[in-house]
Amino acid sequence: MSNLISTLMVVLTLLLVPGGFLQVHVVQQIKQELRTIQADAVRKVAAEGTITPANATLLIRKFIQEEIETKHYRLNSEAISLSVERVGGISEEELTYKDEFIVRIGYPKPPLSSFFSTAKDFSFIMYGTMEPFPYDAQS
Amino acid sequence: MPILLFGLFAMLFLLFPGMMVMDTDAITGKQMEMQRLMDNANHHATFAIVDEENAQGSVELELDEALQRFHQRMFQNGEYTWDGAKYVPGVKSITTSPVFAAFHYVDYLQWEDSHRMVVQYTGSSLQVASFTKMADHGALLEVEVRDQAGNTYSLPPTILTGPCLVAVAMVDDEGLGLAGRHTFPVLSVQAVKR
Repeated sequence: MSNLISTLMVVLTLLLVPGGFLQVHVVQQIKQELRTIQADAVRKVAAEGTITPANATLLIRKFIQEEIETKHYRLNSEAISLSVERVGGISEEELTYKDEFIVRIGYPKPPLSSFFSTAKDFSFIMYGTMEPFPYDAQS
Repeated sequence: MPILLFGLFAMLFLLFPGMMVMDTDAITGKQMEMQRLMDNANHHATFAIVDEENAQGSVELELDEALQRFHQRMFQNGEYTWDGAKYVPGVKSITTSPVFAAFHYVDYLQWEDSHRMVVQYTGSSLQVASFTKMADHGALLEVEVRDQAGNTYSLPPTILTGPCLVAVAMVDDEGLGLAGRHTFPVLSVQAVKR
């Protein structure tokens, strides 16, 4: 313990390196969980049939809350920002057979990684296509 | 001081198991993400039907248009651009190396028979080497990928429910540090939507 500076440096290394690894791991897990939830939400909307984008947002918000609770994800469902948009046109009409939509999902980055990057949020975009219905198949 | 030095050594040593855990997590995530991208793109692609055939009660896929829709969706969701033989990753893509892909359309005359499909991976291309009929019934599709080293990856068998677009992708990506490469095939089968 004679050399104060080297002791401090060793202690700093002992704390910082595992801290960095932990942070990378946490970020990786958050990204994976967000992407999984987003893909499931896209399929949920696609299977719903006739639904307006506004109603679809409410539907998948509820779905995501349930998913996070049952699967014990580390995400906080309050902090997730969501939007469903129709592709092509600004109309708010109902999504039906073969219509395309975008599900955007955003989540704040953990403190350390948001400090080192310019974007403060993770944001992911996923496109989806509505499933056909049984009565569409008959016609 | 010896305690601190031991601590430093122990930490550096324990980082290796930690990196293995992170690598396992990464490959699982990569595999799931590729499966989701392929399924989503294939779902989008199988809407490209020939309208006249549909009006007459049969169903037929317009393959060129379907593949265009497939590539478009892979770009929108995963930032992959198609260059004729492989998907070139963008900055935000899940892999850093190109993903090879092969497509095959099982049309309405074939889908009720059982088939075995062999896909050959050479390291710089992925191609359907053979598509052989095994039986007149069953609607079973078995896909296997053979690589240049002689390994055979058997993919899970699928029961077809109609004319299908079959897409196989081969991911061959760098892993984390000493953990080795991430090599795995992805299969996506989707029935043509009427």
